[in-house]
Amino acid sequence: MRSSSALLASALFLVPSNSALFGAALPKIDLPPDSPVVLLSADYGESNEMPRGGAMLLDVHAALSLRNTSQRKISGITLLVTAQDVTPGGKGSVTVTSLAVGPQETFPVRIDLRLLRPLQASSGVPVQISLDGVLFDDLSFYGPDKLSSRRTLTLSEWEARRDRRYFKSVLAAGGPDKLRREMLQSLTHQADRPSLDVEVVRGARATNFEPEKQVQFAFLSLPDSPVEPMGGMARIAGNEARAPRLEVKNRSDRAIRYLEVGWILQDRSGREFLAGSVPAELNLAPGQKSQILGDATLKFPQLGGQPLGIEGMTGFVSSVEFADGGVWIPTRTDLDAPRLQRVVAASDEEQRLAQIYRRKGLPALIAELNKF
Amino acid sequence: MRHPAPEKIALFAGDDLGRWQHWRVARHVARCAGCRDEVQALRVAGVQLRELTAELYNLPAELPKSLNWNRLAQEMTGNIRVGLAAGEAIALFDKPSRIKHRLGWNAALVLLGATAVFAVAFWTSLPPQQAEHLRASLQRIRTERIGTLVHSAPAPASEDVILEASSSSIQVRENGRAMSLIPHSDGATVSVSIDGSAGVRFVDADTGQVTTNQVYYAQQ
Repeated sequence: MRSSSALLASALFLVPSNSALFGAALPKIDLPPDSPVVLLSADYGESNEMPRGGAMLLDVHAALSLRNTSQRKISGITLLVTAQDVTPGGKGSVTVTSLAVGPQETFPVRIDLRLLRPLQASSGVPVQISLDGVLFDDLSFYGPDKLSSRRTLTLSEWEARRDRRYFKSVLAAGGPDKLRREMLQSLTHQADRPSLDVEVVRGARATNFEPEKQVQFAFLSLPDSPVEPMGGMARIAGNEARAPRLEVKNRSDRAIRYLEVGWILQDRSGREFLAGSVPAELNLAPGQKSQILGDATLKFPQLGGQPLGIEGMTGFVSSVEFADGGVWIPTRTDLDAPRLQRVVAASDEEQRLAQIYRRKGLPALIAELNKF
Repeated sequence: MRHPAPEKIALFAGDDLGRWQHWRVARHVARCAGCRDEVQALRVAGVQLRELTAELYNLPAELPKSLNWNRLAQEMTGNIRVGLAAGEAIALFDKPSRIKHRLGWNAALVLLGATAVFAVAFWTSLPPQQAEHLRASLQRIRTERIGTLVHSAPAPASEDVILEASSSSIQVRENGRAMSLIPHSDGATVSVSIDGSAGVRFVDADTGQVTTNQVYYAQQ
């Protein structure tokens, strides 16, 4: 009896305490008074904190329930997540797209967050959650837009509309069987698409010591693109790509204020990956040329346990925002080009529709498409 | 071939060397005809000297009877030893760098060997990622000190904030602290932007909603 008590005491001593979060340790949710959404409830059921070495690990699992208090349908929302005491140099966001939340309807937003902070950290609120923006179905926007959420949500909504139109046309032209085939093909593509882990290091200076070389961009031509890439290069050192420099020309008759170029990398064995994007805010009049300079380094630690050796690069224009607020995105036909199809991820909406098909079947998918 | 010093040959011939030195010189003399002849000549000279001493010892009247030849011989031998020792000391003083150098090389070799064994053991015991990190750090130090590699620069100061994206989480890392956003699903899609953001997109396993978690640099 005595020995078993001692064992139990030892076990209690050795196992790190894993306690639920209370009070000040919980995130502070801050929505403006005129916000089109209000917080109905916040459930932190499985949140906990536990010591790990000389640090404290906070696991925050927040299931928020929000209500649309506006008179318009909500298409997307972005919440800003900051942990000022832990990472003052960085911040996060959680964006939910492809929504169709009518007035007075409620919808969930789930935030799974982990903080690693020193044991001696201040006892203040570790995490603040605030609203960065809400996009409505008429493409109007509410919010401080500190993270350019308006643009992100608008582009996503345009893609959603494009893909819903496409799948509805597939259903109309080929019936449920054709739609099923499309969904199976989409699920296969999502599963087969190569994915990379990436580190973003601010500043366009190499951080490794392999010999550096300049590699020229090749470009995929998208016939309808309002922007024509003229040339470009980036510096490559082993598994790092940095300082991309692109020259583009506005070949449309509208001024452009933002564009994004997708960046495909090719490794030594010829495999291709969508490494990231090179965005640029500019003022590009019709017919005008401009240079885009990137100021960060992308590091690709490993691929399947092997270091990635970058050998070639390809760029393509992935989105454009005009000065009048309109946007351009590639068409489904553009994206069906074999090289793009291999590396570009399915849109938010296509992923959502494919999951509905996978979980609930074809009738549920058809019902979902008919909502729009 | 390196020959023993003449004084050592002389002491060897007189059987006056220590065991270790005697063994070394004997080993050399066995292989070196020149030194062997010299030893032989010294020994012959020694015999002649002893014979001469005996004759002197036997001389009547001219030399004092009180002369103790044995003691004289001991004193002479002692003087010779002192002289040899002094000669060695002077030789040491004349060529300090060479002796020290030899000692330094021995010590350096031992140290180098021990360091190599330790380094190999340490390197092989390191996990690959840590080994790679260590290698990069050492190369960085080398470049900073020697400056032979081109197209390489020290990591920028702003590297203390790093954004990391994988299909299992995205993270802002800063001075050993970190904030991660974790996708509530399998099969998330990673995306990064050269303007300083990283994200992961997924269909939430519970809600079925398309959710994108992103991290940014704070100034953005």
